[in-house]
Amino acid sequence: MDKFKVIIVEDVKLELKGTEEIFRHDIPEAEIIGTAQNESEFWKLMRADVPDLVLLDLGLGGSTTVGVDICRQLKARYSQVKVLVFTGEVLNEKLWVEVLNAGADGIILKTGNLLERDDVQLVMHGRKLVFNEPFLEKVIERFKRMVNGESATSDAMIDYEIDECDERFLRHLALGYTKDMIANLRQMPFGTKSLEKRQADLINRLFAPNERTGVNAVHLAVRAIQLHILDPEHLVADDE
Amino acid sequence: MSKEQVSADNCNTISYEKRYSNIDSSYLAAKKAYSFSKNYADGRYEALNNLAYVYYQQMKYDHSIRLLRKVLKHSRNQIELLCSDVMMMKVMQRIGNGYEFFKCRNSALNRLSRINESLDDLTDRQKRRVYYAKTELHIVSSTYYYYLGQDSLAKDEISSISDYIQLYKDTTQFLYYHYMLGSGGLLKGNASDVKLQEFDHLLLTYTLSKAKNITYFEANSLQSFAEMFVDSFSVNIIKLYRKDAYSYIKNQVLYDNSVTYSYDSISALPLALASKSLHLFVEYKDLFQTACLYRTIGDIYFAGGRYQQAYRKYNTALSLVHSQKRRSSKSIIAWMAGIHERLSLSYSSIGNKELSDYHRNIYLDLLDYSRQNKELDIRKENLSNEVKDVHVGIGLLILLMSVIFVLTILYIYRIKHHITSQYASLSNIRESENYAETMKRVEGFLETQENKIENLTDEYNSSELHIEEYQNENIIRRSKVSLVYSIVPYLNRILAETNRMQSEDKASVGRLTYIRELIAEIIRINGVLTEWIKMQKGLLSLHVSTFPLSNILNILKLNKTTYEKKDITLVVPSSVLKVKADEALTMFMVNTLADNARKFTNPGGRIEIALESTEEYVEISVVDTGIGLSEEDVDTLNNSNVYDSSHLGLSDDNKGFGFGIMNCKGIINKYKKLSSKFAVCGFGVESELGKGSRFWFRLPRALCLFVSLMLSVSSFAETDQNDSLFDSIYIANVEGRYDDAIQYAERALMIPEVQKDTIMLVQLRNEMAIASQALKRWDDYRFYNNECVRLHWLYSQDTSLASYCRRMEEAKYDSSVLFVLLAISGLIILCLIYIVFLRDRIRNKAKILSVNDIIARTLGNLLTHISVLTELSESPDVDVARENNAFILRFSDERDKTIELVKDDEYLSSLLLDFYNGIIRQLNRINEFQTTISSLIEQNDKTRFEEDRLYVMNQVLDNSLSTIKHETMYYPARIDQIAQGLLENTENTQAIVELNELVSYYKELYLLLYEQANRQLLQSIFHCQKVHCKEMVEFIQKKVNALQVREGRDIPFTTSYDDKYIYCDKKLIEILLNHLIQVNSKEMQELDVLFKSDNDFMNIFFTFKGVVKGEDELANLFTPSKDNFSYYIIRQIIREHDDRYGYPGLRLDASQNVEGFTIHFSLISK
Repeated sequence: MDKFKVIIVEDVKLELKGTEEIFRHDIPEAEIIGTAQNESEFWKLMRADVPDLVLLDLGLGGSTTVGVDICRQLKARYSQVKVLVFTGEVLNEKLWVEVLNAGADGIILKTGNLLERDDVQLVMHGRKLVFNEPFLEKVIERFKRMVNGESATSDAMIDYEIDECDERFLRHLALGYTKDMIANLRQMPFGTKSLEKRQADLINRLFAPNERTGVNAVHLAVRAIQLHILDPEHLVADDE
Repeated sequence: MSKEQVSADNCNTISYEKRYSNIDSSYLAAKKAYSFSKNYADGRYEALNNLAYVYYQQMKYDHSIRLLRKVLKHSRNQIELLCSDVMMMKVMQRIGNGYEFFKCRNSALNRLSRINESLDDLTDRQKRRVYYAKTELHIVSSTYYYYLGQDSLAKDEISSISDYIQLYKDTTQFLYYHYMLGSGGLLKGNASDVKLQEFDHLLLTYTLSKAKNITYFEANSLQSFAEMFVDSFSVNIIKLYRKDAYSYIKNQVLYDNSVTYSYDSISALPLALASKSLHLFVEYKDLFQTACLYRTIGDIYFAGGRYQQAYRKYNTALSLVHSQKRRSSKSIIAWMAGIHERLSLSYSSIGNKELSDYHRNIYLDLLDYSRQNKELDIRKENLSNEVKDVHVGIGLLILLMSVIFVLTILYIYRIKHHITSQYASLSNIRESENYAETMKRVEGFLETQENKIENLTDEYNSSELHIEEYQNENIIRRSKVSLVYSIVPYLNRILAETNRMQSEDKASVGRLTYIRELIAEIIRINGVLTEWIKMQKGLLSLHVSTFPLSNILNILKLNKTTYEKKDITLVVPSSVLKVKADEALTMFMVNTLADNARKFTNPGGRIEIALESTEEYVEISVVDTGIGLSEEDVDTLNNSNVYDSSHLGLSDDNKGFGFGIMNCKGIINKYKKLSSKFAVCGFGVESELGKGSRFWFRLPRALCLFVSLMLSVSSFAETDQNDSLFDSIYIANVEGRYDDAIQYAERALMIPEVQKDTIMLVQLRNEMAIASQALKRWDDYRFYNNECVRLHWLYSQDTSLASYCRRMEEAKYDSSVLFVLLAISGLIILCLIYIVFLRDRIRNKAKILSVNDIIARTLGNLLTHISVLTELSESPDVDVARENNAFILRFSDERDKTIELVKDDEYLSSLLLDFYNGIIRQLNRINEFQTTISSLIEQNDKTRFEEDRLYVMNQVLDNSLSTIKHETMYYPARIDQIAQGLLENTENTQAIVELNELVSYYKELYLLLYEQANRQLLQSIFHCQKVHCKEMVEFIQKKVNALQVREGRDIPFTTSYDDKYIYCDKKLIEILLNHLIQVNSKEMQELDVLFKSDNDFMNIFFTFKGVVKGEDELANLFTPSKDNFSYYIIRQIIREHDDRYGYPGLRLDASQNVEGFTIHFSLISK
């Protein structure tokens, strides 16, 4: 790794000390050209000398999320400067997304092994989306959940013997179509009468015998969502 | 006199004389007399009277009455009529028909006075008949009054014939008289004298009747002896002063073979006497007296404590009467009431509370039924109405006749002014009393509605105030939670360092020093947290009140469907129990436990809320048939303060109790800390794997009875409270706390309001009687019960009614005659006048009259409507406006119809239109009010919900924070200690591992507790609003003004703002502004506030002129320290806004310049 210039933005002195220490120990290539405890100090430093990397804490003093805005402005004004977010907001997933949207090159959560040489190296080599292990753990956990949800959908299709027409029928019921409207869809080979039959058939498949009384189209559609037959995120109508 | 007449007379005499010795002979003789006197009316009627007597003795009251009516209807013989009246009195007395009794008595007294005028012309036989009737009349009256409890009247009646009784040699009446005196209650004097006199009278009756073989009185006097000898007081006196006579009586049964007599028991003699008497009555075939004797025997057993035998005898007596009842519709209600009372008592004695209560209820029902004034009242009312009608009729007739007279004279004049006068009455509708009254009611209703609005508004305002307070509290707690979190980065740093040391396998001085610095910071922040918690302590205390558990149970019942959806049965009991606790928190706890149970119970299961109470506490438990918990888990839940709830439970799918249980435990601990009164509080879990769990907690039971009693005593003005007091006594009885019941009742008796309220007194005495009956305090029972019955009669009897009825009847008769005469003549004249010249005029008048009628009816309807509305508005769920609208519609219809009637008359039409529209306007006002009320109620429901939510959230946060404080305080110091040790010996790898483990554990525990607190924060308190800059400036101005007043100095305030809106939570921002001004209030000389918009943001600059902050102070303004609490809260508020709007990067910073100290913050402004 070549030598590079870095500005550390960190409002807590004690933490700053630890971070500087990490650079000194593990990343001797880095030249700390300045440290800032608040927004105005940071911009003053930027005016004096443009660094290669900014290690950015998200909360500074009272402004607990000012980092998001700093990142945005920084990327707008100095697009070549790399921004690595170094934050203690280990539970705030929404904030991570915000800061990624603002153009950050990576996020390092202040937990586990904190800032590691490898991560800084990756950023300096131009890699986008650099995250440390605790961050990735959380992202993967989420990812797994999502994928499991999707596979539940295909399992449900098999368990309840849902064919394409059933799926289409249920999907349009969920979207608020009447049976007449569904019958008029281009890819729907059934008339209103047989749709009614199909609905009764679906009720028998999706509900236990003691639950079947009084089930209407709304119940049926909701049950389909509950059983992952329909994915509420992909509820789109077909062409008419 | 024919031969047949003589035979008839003879037979009648035999029947009369035999009536007390052999009822069958008397019957046969009477029959014979009847058959002899086909052409002899007097004889026939006398025979019928005698027959009536026989039926009376056989308890065939219907037959008896039928015969007597026959005599009264057909006979013209005043003497027989008199006898019939008297006989009728006797029957009516027995079946307890007071009205008929008095009617006959009045008629009898009338006849008697008429007969007395011509007494000298009567034959001996007739005189004897009159003598019989007269003595019988007084004896029966005396009996009547005696049973009514009006002893003085009874005594008067009996003594009025004392001079008279020996005039004619009628043995039976003579015996009757002495028997009456001897049987008790009719003599005056001191107790022992009276007893002796009574004994003498009875002895006379007994010896004479025995000698003359008059079974009825022989048996009766034996019965009276039996009753007398039950009482040890009487026995002693009689043994002392009438020794011989006593042993004579004793010998009577001693040598009687039909009677078994034993010497071993005190009640043996009375029993023997009674059974002899019973024997005689059975022989004599007097059903009623036989039943009475069973009762007497029962009494004797009862007095001797042999309750089993007693109630059997009572039952026999009752069944005898019931068997008679099948034959006759008339029944002896008062007597049966007595039997039921005795049954109630004896069942109570043998501990059969259920049957005892059953009979007591029948007893009270019968007493109530025998309230004669019901009937008498109706009669009185009918009579006085009739008389009034007649009087009105007479008045009208007189009026009519004078009208006719006037008409004939002023005929022309009347025609001219006829319509005008009707007009006047119509145009004065608004001045009429009726109208004024109705409108007053409408106004009154409107006023109550207005009051309601005012109350609701007050309630709303107070709720709002609370919400504001709680929101403030909440944001403070949020700040604290964020403070708690602020040490997590340090912990992570330490952990990173120890990890490094462990991997390097050696400690470095640099790292250790850094670790110690970090630990010092953590300790400092912990100190700040402690300080802040201390600072706020006591600000938010528990809302302890006494409330009925039913409040909570009812809300839970509403939730049943949620459980049914999962096919789980939720059983919620009903309860009258009250507890002393915080209602909102109790609701929270019950809900949390029930929700948990639902989570861990499979479909088809059952969740039951169970209540158990002791004198001190109520234990509320949630029992489920769910999957249960392992022994270790139960142990953890019961004994540890902190645990990782996600590790509890059976399988991976069902793990995790959430923090609910921990929070519930925290609340219970909070109670315990509050006061020693809550020492009974507790929380626990019992469970078995696979079978289910029981989570319970205890709250102190409120002594609701006592509290409400004290309330009543202290403010006895309200009958409501008296009622609730009475309820308390009733409940005490129902729950079997008889001593309490008597105690409460005695206290209640001291309340003056209660003393004046007869109904309340009757009820009180009844409850006291029940209580003492259950406690087997017979004397108390008798006292209370007699009081109860006496008051009952007092309340329901009015003896003056009898004479009043008589006067009424006379008046009615006289008036009726007059009325008929007047009516006939009036009618004739009226017809003539009508036909000749009134017909057309009346038609005109009718039209206006009908308008008048309609108006009167309209006003009446309106009154009813207002009453209905008043009633409806009491219950919350009724749509008053709809009811009112329907009425307005009907009312408009009526208006149109009425106006249609007078459409030819312009003046009248407009008059009526005004009248109706005025009322409709008022009715519409009701609707307006109603709309306000319902929206206020809705608003109140919302704010109250919000209030409770915030309150519970705050309490739970408090608990979490204090747990964090207590459970984690120890670790930093320990870590520091190890770090220090390592500094001295950096090679100690063992210590490095230990340090690393300790830090990891500390962090894990800390994060767990933080998460518990943070879970509460997931509920948003944020209310997004659009607020204009100007509004904020006004708020600041107000605060500055208040500050000036408080500080007593001038604080100039300058400002400039853009004409823009800010998107924020107004209340939170107000809290922010408040803190900002407050924290700088002492030092600031001037305040400048600038609102400057910048794209999507509004930048707000607060410059406090004259305030100087050092560089360090500025840098650390928003880091936690003892003095920066306000700034930390401000930071939290800005953070909440940031969070809400998706982290747009809102600013909050501080700077110092020459002018002063500036705080700048930004908010969203689009």
